[in-house]
Amino acid sequence: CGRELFSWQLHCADIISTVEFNYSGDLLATGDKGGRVVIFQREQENKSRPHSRGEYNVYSTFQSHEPEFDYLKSLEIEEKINKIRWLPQQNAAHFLLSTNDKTIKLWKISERDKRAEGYNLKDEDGRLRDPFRITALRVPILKPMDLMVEASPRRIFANAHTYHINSISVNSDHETYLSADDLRINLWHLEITDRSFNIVDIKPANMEELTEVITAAEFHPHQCNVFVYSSSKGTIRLCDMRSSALCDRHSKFFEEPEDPSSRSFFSEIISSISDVKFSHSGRYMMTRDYLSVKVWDLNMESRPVETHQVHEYLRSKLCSLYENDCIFDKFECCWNGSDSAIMTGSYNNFFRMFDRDTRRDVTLEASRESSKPRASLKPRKVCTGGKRRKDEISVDSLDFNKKILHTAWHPVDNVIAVAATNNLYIFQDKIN
Amino acid sequence: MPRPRGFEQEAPPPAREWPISGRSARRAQRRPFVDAEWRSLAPPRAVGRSSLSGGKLAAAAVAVAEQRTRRAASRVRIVVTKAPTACWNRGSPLPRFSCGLRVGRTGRRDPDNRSLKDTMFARGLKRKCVGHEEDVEGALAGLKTVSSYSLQRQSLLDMSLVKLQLCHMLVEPNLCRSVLIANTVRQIQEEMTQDGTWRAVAPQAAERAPLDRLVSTEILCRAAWGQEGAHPAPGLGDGHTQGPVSDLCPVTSAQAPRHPQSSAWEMDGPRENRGSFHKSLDQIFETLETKNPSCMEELFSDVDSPYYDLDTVLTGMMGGARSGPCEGLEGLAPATPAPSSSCKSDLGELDHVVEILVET
Repeated sequence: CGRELFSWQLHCADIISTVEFNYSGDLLATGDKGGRVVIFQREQENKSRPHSRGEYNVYSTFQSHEPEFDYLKSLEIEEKINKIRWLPQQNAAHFLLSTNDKTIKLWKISERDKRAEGYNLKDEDGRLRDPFRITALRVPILKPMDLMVEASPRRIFANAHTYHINSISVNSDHETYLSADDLRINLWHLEITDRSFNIVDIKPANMEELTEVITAAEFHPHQCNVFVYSSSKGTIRLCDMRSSALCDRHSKFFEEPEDPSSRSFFSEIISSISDVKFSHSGRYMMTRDYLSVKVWDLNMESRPVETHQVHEYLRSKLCSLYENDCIFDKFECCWNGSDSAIMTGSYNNFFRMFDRDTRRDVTLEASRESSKPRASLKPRKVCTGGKRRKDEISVDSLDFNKKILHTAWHPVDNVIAVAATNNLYIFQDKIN
Repeated sequence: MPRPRGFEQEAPPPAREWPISGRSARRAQRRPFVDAEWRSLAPPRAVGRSSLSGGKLAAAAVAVAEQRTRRAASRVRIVVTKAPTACWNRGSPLPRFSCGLRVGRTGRRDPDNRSLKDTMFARGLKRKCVGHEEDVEGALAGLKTVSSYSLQRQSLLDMSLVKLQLCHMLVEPNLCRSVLIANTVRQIQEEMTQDGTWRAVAPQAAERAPLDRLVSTEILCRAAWGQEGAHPAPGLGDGHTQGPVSDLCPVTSAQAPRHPQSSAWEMDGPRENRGSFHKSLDQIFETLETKNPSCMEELFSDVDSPYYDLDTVLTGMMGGARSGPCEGLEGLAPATPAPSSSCKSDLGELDHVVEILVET
């Protein structure tokens, strides 16, 4: 019995801005800064090609968003795709939501592998036939053709957000979804594009008093009335839509008390939560702030049940990171299918995985070297001070241009997708 | 807008044998993911016209791959490269730092052969030197009397204000970032107020409640969520094309010798010691709102303490055995700042800064 581990590296023309597996894991969608969406499909296991199972190949590419110009404010609206979320599959077609700063679009991706031949009024090449030449009628028949994947926009949800959309989340009822910007959260119905309901509004009456913004929001995976949103002050609010129409008052408030010994001018900035994700079970949620990942039990608001340090060695460099704006980087995090492991990105193309059961963690690097044949993906280590060992990297040598902000984990298998600037890495751990 | 770019796939190396170990029914116990010994194998698939050698498997692979290529090609042109090293980040810009003060000293390389610009210790912009010898001496004397913590706090404050000013100039500022920076500025101001730092300078403001002095977010970052004022871009653009230094308007206020402590806040010489905290802020924001190239220059020139030395001091502090988490500025013991002779800025660096500002 062997262990086969695969990796693929794909180069994109633009910076990848979001990565998301669908519910089955067969499709992997990436969005980039140029407004394009590229979908990869996992190859079906095929007896004639036993070693190729599980490869991800390009399935469809389409331009989701174009740059726009807001004439009222004289501002350009970026076409960068901020988030992609798949809808659960209900028929042969696939649906996904993609959003830029202002507009959400519902895309339908469908396959066409048959075409009709034998039209009466048209020739095979499409030219209209002269009606006087038609002497007999025939019934068109369907013939197989080369597989073609089409993407068409089905709904466009626009003009509901004054500020930049940072999250979208599909509800477990499969009919509604939420979109969150810096100050408001709206609830949409997938069929209705001209109306949305505002369910959270933290905009103060006087903008001078603004000190906190919404950074991420997500629906509970099973309870369709529950959602959470995180803030720039490191707090998470859980809201129940049954309690009132406007969920400004939270049902639960999660905040870890600050450690007074580590207080600094940067404490608030590094406590700002960049991502929040429910576990698949729905019992836990995970938040990512600048230096750590925290796992919360939904039943305990006072503090997280687990805290994992991602790159604690950066704590002493916060001033430099503030200077070069890296301190504002928004890292995402993700669970594995069984909720036993979590993953998040770091700098220097490093990403970190934490095993919750064994309490072990590993740092890996997504790079060209890792794609060489037979090259093993070595665990990396960052040296924080003193003598640097042979394989270690010192903190000063880290490349802060190379950051891994977006990662995704297959919902069932041990397959991960890691976006490193322009490159997408897919790592797969297969047991033979 | 034309979108000719596509998605490029790394081609596999030439044909290789796959371990045909067969699918055994026995599944090894799944090790925790973190334990997995990751091994990377380049994919053997053939995409398009690849260089795979013959064989049934290869032929089947080619057939499937061609089908997929054709399918994908109907949407976008896929560039297949033979050599794995063919296309590597070619032509795609890496994300830029938005803070113009990231400019570092170019040319120096650390042992890992990486430019300093890319690493942690990107030095801040070298401030324009005060120019007069007596001013330098005065500044030095002033520096000695002020604790380095205050200096560093001041530097942080200046850095934050400049970042907020860059907010004004960006097309669509990031609200979260603006709010976080504004909160940091407010924190510093609160602390400075509590310290009594400002009361010493402006006694008549002592009766003001601290809250009055706190700058509201709206003032700090007016353009972020309230479009007011002229657009800065044309102004900066002109400045850039005509030559950054020559076009910068001379500072309207007299460059009188300044209190290093209050230096950042004082724009006018005669009003130097009279200005209250609030008034000084107003001056700052007037400057910020005019949004012409000279205001940036003013902001830089008014700060005596070498901007980059914040890092030097911090580095120095971190180098000495501190195992605990850094406490930021508050955890630093007083240290003598580096001599201000190194604060002379090159015209070249100023050029660079303005260039960065114009481009952002």
